[in-house]
Amino acid sequence: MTKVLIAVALGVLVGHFNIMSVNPKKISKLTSLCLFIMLLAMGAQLGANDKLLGDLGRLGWQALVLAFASIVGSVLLVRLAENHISKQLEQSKQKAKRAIGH
Amino acid sequence: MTWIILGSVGIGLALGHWLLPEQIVQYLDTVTTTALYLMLFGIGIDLGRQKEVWVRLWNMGWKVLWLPILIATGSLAGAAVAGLLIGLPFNESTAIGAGFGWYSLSGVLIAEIYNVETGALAFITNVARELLTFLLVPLVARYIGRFSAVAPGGATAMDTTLPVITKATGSDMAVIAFISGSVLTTLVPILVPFFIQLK
Repeated sequence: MTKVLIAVALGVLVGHFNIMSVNPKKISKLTSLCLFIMLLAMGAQLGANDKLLGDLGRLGWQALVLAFASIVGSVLLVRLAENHISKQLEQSKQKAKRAIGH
Repeated sequence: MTWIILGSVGIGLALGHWLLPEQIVQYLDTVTTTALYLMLFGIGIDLGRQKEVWVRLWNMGWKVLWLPILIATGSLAGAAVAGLLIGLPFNESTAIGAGFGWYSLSGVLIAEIYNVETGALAFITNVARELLTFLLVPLVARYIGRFSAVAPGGATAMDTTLPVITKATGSDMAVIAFISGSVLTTLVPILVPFFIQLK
């Protein structure tokens, strides 16, 4: 957990202050390459595990329940605050307009 | 990109099932650990370079942050409740929910630092979240509300599902959806490892 956060935080620092002036395209290529290695590896571990492969059906419906519940939870909370958020943003917008006007 | 990601997992699956003997699968560990930290470092650089989000956030006012905070809280709560229903421990369901639709990262992250089964579930769940988002955004925008229509997309509201959201809600929501998606994207590599290690 700590190692994961340190790796991300180091990256953020390097990116924000442009410490190693590397080509962003090269970074995104490297990131994609690592991602594909990990996706292949995750697939390979799944494929080598017969018990898990037999369980893919169960994983599928569990995934649907989890995904649907996450969506419902997030929509519900935002719906409760919808009017408030919209009012707040309208005020910010008008403030910004007035500031430009002056 | 989606097809390359799904294809990689598919090829891996076939390799693991028919070709690679178990010893090689074990050797993979060093390779994937190295790849994990390089990838996280690269994602960090990408996040750190994104100054546009901060400028937009500044112009919009910080109150717009309430939107991604509510979306994050709602997603985690929803996943926790679903976890209770299907018998998943709290740390697993919330870590999966904290993927916010970013299936490639949440899947490999959990597979690497926790276990493959939960990683696979996180991957499929967050693929499903993105697919459901494409179906639900127009309905949510019409019957529930414009801000609510940003919620299903989670982290993907900054890229893959942004066009659907903008089409369903109007072009003035594009900036808000982009900011919300960016904030949630930043939270994924922080919250997923945080929740998965909870006991």
